[in-house]
Amino acid sequence: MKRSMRSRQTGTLSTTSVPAIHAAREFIIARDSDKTESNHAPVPQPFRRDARSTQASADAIMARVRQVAAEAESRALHPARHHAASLRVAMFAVAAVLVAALSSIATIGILGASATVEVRFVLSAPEASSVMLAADFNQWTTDGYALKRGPDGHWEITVPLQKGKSYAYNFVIDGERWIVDPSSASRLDDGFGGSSSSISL
Amino acid sequence: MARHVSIHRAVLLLGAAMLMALSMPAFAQPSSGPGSVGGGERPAGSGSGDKGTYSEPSVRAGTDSATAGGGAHEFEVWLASSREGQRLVSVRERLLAIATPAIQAGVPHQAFAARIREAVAKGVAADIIVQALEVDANRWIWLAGILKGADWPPARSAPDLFLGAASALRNGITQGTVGDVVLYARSSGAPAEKAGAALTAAAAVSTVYRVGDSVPDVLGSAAVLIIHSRLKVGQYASIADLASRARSAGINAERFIAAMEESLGRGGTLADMERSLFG
Repeated sequence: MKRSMRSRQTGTLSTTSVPAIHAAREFIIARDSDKTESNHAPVPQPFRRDARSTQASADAIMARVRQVAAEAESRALHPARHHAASLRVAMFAVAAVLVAALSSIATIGILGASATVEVRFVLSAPEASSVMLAADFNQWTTDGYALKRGPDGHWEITVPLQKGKSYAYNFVIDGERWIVDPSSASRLDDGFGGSSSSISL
Repeated sequence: MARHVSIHRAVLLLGAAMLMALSMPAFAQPSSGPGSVGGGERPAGSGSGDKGTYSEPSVRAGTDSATAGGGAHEFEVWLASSREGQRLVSVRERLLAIATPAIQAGVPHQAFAARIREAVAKGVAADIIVQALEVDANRWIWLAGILKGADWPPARSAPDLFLGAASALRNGITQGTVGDVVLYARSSGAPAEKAGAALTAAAAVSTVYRVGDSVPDVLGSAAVLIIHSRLKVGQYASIADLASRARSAGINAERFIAAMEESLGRGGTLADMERSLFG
């Protein structure tokens, strides 16, 4: 075990940075050129080690070595337990990925399906006293769907509607005259002798 | 090993629970009643215009006799209690005679209620309402036959599909085309609202080129082209706008459909179609 520890330390030295090697080389040259002074010269930075910390490092390394050895022994003696542990980790990983993926799908589905758009219905009717919007999305009742008159005779109302479908609608002028939207080419026979406009969102 | 099995079960239960949660209609919205086709929210500052209290729709488009029977009962209750039903007391029995077999065949009762709401709001005479619903009911029974036994469309979107199909058939789209669109949507898992919107858009194109009661046969492929296209539903209405411009520019129905095939039929956009039509 000591041999392996020493070889690890050697390995650490071999990967020491270039300035440290230079410092070590200068130290050796200085020591060889003047042995008297070198005996009393301060030890350069790379070689100055605290005894306690060195011991602590060695203990930590040995503890890890013992742990690795114990694990290897355990794997050899109890392969099923090790397999179960690995499987457990893998299954938890799969479950986590599943949860994340399904949550994303659900979130996207909810966002996509509940998406609404603000639709502005506009009619130019300067002579009208009132203009209402009747449509399938309000069950053809005009209550609460009165258009507001602008200064130039344009009437308008903005309604939030769900995307992804088409709607049928009419304007009702002065409470009695049902007309299609003159600005839309989508006009359909309603089967009752009249027509409705349609809009798709 | 017992621990391993319990963890395995826990993971399986977790997965099953999540799949169940996803299979539930995450975006189901409460309907406003049997006549509601959904989608609209009341504009800010508006009053409460809806009348009557209704239970949540329970029928599906399939022909589950138990739920269809419940749907017929719901429709009857609605007709007896709603403002629209009160206006049509004189033809109430005739309406029930028309609607009940259709609902039992799988037609969503909300489709009938929606049509009655529209007619009453427009002040249509009771006899004309009965005649119009009789025509609709026959078409809807045919459509319900196509969808018999299928899990599609979902109950919440079935009324839109039936109303869209009836509108298309009323406006020059043939049963064959409606069937093609519906079956394509069902097999591809497309939303029923999308199929209804495609049929409505094609009907609007037909109306543009309609001469009297005659619609050029070539326009029959418009609905199929639309639902096969890569367009979003929000772009469908623009096709009727293009048809209107094309007709004003002297472009006939054959040339219009050819432009649709060259552009939308090949995954193109509305801009491609516009270039194909007008250069």
